[in-house]
Amino acid sequence: MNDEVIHAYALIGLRALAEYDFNEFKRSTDLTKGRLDDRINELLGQTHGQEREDLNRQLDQLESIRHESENQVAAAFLRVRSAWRARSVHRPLLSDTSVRLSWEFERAAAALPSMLRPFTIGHRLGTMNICVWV
Amino acid sequence: MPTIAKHLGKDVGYSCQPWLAIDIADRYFGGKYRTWFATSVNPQLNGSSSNPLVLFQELDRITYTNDFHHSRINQLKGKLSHWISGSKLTSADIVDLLAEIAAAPVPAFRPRLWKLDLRNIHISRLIDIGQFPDEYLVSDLIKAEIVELVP
Repeated sequence: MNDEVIHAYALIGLRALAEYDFNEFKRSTDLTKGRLDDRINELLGQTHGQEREDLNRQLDQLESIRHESENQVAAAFLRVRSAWRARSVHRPLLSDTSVRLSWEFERAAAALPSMLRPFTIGHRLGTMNICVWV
Repeated sequence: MPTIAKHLGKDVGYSCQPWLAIDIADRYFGGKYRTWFATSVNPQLNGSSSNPLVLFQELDRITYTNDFHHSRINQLKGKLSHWISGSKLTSADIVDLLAEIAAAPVPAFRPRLWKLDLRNIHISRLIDIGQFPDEYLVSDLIKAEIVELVP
């Protein structure tokens, strides 16, 4: 996974924040939503194959944030954010000689700010796979 | 000059910043700080993350006890990561910084309490966040505009 792909995930996470908590988005960046969309598309254009499919899947999640009800918005935001955080957090560990582990989304959600946790209670958000270098 | 002080009717602002945010700004943004502030050191109607005194006390205790699982640490990591993600840095620098923030130990979030001199900051640099009654933002604060009350 190259830097542009991880950067794209991070920007999608930021874009999700713009839908979920616009005040926090304004605190984070001077970028507008439109400029951010342009930057994401620019980075998306530099990716191929599976990485591009995975990124498009995250963009689909972003669409769900725009169209779903409040609790579902929170859950969708957590999914998008968890995905990019997992990639940035574990980036130094990524390797071709890796084993695949399943990781509950709830574990990632538990690491999020307490203000977001009430939205996750009672929701099973699914599982994701990460690569861990051994 | 139309200053923030004149518009807000306050000469000073207060902010609390974790050491890591300051260090990143020094290394990657030429010592320009994206800084929120309040015009009171203890604005009662702001949330705790936007109350300089409360945030300082909280971070001071968290770092003293090395409370790795405290939600405030995760929140700050998220805020720093979003700030970096939306910056104009290169993808390589952004990815390096995201990894650094993710791996940062609790002491990297030791608090710094700042007093800002609003009398010399042009009003055009003010960004009104609008969530809490006494919370504002300057995206390009420089060291000369800051007094470290508790370094």
